[in-house]
Formats: sequence, structure tokens, C-alpha cells
Amino acid sequence: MTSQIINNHSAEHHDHDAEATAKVAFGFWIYIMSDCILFSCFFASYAVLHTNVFGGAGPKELFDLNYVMVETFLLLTSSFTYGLAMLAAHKNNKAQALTWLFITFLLGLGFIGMEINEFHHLIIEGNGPSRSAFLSSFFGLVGLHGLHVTCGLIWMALLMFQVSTRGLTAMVNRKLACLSLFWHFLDIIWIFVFTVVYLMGVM
Amino acid sequence: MSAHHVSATGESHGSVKAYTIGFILSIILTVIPYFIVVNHMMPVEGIAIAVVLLAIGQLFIQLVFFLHLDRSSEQRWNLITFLFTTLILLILVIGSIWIMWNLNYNMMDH
Amino acid sequence: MTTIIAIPTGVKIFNWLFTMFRGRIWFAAPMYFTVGFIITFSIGGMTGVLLAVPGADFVLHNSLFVIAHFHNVIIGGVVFACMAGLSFWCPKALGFKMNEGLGKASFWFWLVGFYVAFMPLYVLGFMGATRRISHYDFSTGWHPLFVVAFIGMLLIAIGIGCQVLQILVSVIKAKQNQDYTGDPWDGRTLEWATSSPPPFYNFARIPTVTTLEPHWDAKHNATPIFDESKPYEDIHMPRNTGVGAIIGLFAFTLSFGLIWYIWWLVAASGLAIFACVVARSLDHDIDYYVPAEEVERIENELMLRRNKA
Repeated sequence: MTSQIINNHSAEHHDHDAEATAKVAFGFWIYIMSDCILFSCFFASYAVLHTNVFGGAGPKELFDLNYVMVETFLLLTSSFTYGLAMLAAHKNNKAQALTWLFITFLLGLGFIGMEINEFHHLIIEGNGPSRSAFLSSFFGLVGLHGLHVTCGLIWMALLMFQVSTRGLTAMVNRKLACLSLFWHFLDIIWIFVFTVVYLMGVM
Repeated sequence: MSAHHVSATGESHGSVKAYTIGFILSIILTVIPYFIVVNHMMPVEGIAIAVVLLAIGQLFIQLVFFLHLDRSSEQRWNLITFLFTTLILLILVIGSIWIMWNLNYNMMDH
Repeated sequence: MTTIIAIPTGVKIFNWLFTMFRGRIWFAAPMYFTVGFIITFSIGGMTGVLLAVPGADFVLHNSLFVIAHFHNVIIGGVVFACMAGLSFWCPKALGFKMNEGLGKASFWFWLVGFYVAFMPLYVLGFMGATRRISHYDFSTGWHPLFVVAFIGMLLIAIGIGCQVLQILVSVIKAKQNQDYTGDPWDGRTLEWATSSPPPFYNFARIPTVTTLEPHWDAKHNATPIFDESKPYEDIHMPRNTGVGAIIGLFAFTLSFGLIWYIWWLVAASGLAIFACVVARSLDHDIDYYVPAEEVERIENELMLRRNKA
């Protein structure tokens, strides 16, 4: 290939970082939009199938609204604490950023723990995803969201590692910005899961 | 309304105040529908509408305060793609429900 | 569903026809395939609309009529368009033109072969022949039509043979058919403003676009797109990586395992994908800048090649 390859980030390339981050953030936003379409397919399936209980238990019998509220507050708070982590990162405060990231991680882990517990109970009581179309679409939608949150947690752990070992470089900040979009978007999806599945299931 | 900061690297970010306002408003908009449902404060159709409207409200709160989506020129393209996605989403969900309802109706014994 | 596909596609067909209308069309091999595409794809689309009539579909579902329809649109639409694209862009991608004679020969064999092979299948569908049958009774009366279809298949096979030959001959004779100008078709769009093949950074200078056909206007209407007075700048490039393709490969094995309940494969693929993602995330050296001097050196070399034309 080329004989001389500069390994980037000389002074005159610094302004390229701003452009690069904005472009990457927009590109990631477009991915988030496509993820919204994916979720809307699962929402549509749930909307069509949620009354098909095949003689088994329906939402009223299976959902514990208080339990779900706790889950909701865990995730909502984690979205807030991630925002605080981003503010710390912008102030170049590595320790504070790591702290808020870790708190976000714990809250997210709590959410997933509660959700796994909920799924486990449903399955061992015979209300697994193959019991009825309602349950298939429920596990599909809520499970897809949970899968996204889990991937987000793994990603967050990876980024916490990179923040602590390499510091808040331009590249690390770019990655944090992308995870920020992802994490806030997951809470937005949860607003609708909580409303459509749980609240409207129980009303 | 929310303090709109743009960092040196070009991406939008809020302030502690903005995130806190968003957080508190989101909590309120979560708790209200919970109580409406749990205490049966309206007839069922009313609950459905109220709960969906409150969810949409919380969506806007989180878009503005957490995702910093507004009508500024930096966010212009993000806003455009978001509106397009919403259009596709509405077609998908409403279309699916409409078609399947029609199918079920026409397959009934009458 | 049919409306959503058929109406906009109908608009596109008219779009292409009116683009060609009253133009001066250069009938090189890619253009043969393009015209073949418009005709064949339109006919296939029309039979699709026929199938959308519920009464007709009830009779024709899973018959050979359906097979004829979708091959009509796939071969007319995808295959012919692909072949047009391949011969059109081969000079740009590889630096040499493909053999014209064999390209045209392959087109005629494909076109005639397609119609001889698949038109009988429409008739067979109406006569009650279903898809995926390995045996039929001679008393059905289907046999003559199947024989005709077989002949069509042979013609298509010759067409494919011509294409294989075309590739071989084009590669062997590449030196004599080099595209030195970068613009073998007197093109109108920006890709023809680069050399063939283009340098890895594509454009040394970002073109300034003010019209619908920038390259054409730069050539004929004195509307320049490159500011040659400005010096070359460093170009920001991503480093090459195979990680996307490798993750895709493991996603394939993951999906395969999920479908057939091969749980060890699912676990192994999942771990492999995870490892690739972690490796990619930890790699912070993912881009570089090509120095302006290097850009200048490459551009000067390309200028020498262009002057050979």
C-alpha cells in the first residue's frame, strides 16, 4: 500500500475528530432507528396475538404490576445516571465518569436480574413461550428488549475497562456517545413495553 | 427550555439540570398511569387512551432531555430520520393491526 | 402488498422508458441486457398482478404459473440487470473491458432461452401442473411443453457458457483491452471521473457538484468539478478489517445452529462473535491519514496511465 502512513492525531487532525464523532454518532443514530423498526415488528405481533391465550393464563393472571414498576424505576434511573456519566466525561473527570457508569451498570444488572427471575417463574409454572401465541409474542418482545439490555451491559463493561485503562480519549468518548444513544433508546422502548404489555394487559 | 450545550467535539449534551428535570418528569409520567390502572380511575377505554398518551408524553420528555433531540441545526438530520422512522413504524403497527382484524372478522362464522 | 410493489414499479418502468426516449442510445452489451430487463421484468410483473386476483390465485397457487412468474421477474429483473451491471462496470473495477461479441452472444442465448424455457410453464400452470413434481403421467398432455422448456434450458446453458467464455477471454486479453481513460462509455456520472481502477482513496479532491450530471458537464459544458489550483490534502482513511465479514460468517453458523437445534454450534458461534466484537472494540487504531505527498505521487502515476490512451 502506501509507503508513509501517519498514525493520526497530529495537531492539524484534531478538528477531524469533531467531524468524525458527529458522523459516527449520526450513523449510530440511524442504526438505532432501524432497531426501532425491529421492535415495532415485535410490537405489532404482540398487538395482534396478545388475546390468543389458548385456554391458558392471560396478562391479568400473570403480570405483577408492582414488580414491573420496580424494574421500570431501575431502568429509568440507569438512563439518568448514564446521562450523569456523560456529563462527567465531558468535564474530563475520569473517576466520576467511571463511578456513574458503574452505578448505571448495577441498575441495569438489577433490571436484567428481575426480568430473568420473572421469565423463570413463568416458564416453570408452564407459561413458557410455547404455551400460547400470547406468551410467544410476550417472550419475543420483552425478551428482545432484555437481550438488547444485556448486550448493552456487556458493552458498558467493555467501555468501563477502556475508560480506566486508556482514559477519556476522543475515541473512547465517541464510543461512550454511541452507548449513550443505545442506552437511552432502550429506556424509551421500555416505556412502550411497560405501557402496552403490562399496563394495558392488567387494566 | 433545556440548556442546549454543544461540546468541542460537536455532539450535543445536556446539563445536570436538564437530566434531572427529565428524570423527575419521567417518574411522574410513569407513576400517574400506574395509579390510573391500579385504582381503575376511568372506564377501560379511557384508561387505554390516557396511558398511551402519557407514554407518548414520556417519549418526548426522554427524547428532549436525555437524547437532546430538538429543532437545532446540529440535530436536524437526527430529527428528520426520527420522523421518517416514526412514519414507517406507524404504518407497520397500525397496518398490521388493521389487516389482522379484518382477516379475523372475515374468517368468522357469519 | 401487490399494489405497494406494482404501482411504484410501474412508475419506474415509465421513468426508464422516458429516460431513453429521444436519446441517442449506444447499444453495447450492457444496453442489450438493460432493454431485455425492461421488457422481461414488465411481463413478469404483469403476471404477478394477475396472481394477486384472489380467484385466480386460488387456482394457480403452487402451480407452475407461479414458478414462471417469479422466474420471469427474477431472471428479467435481477439476472439481466446484474449482467448489465457487470459488463458496464467491469472496466471501472478491473481496468479492462469485457469481450463485446461474447457479451452480446450470451445475451441472445439468455433472452431467447428464457422465453422458450418459461413461457410453456405459464401454459402448464393453467393446465394444472404443480411445482416440485418429479413424475407426471403422459396422459396429462404436459409432455410436449416440458420438452420445449427443456430446449429453452439448453439455450440458457449455452448463454451461460458464453458468459464463462467471455470472462476467460476478457481476462486473457485484458492487456489489449485496457481502459486507460477511466471513461470508456463517455459517462455522465462521477465514477467515470476517476481512473480505472480508481485509487484506494477514490477521489484525491472532493468534486464540487452544481448540476445533475457533473462529469458530463465538466467535459462538455465547461462546468469544472475539481479545483486543480488547490494543493492536495491529507486524506482520512479507515484501516481495512475483516472483522465484519468474520462476524457475518459466525452469525451464519449461529443461525444455522438455532434453526436445527445444534446447541454446541450456537454456543461456539456466540462466543466467537463475542470475541470478535471485544477484539474490535479494544482496537483503537482503526484509521489513518494518507499524506498529501503520497496522494500527489499516486495521482501523478495515474496521470501517466491516462496519457497512454
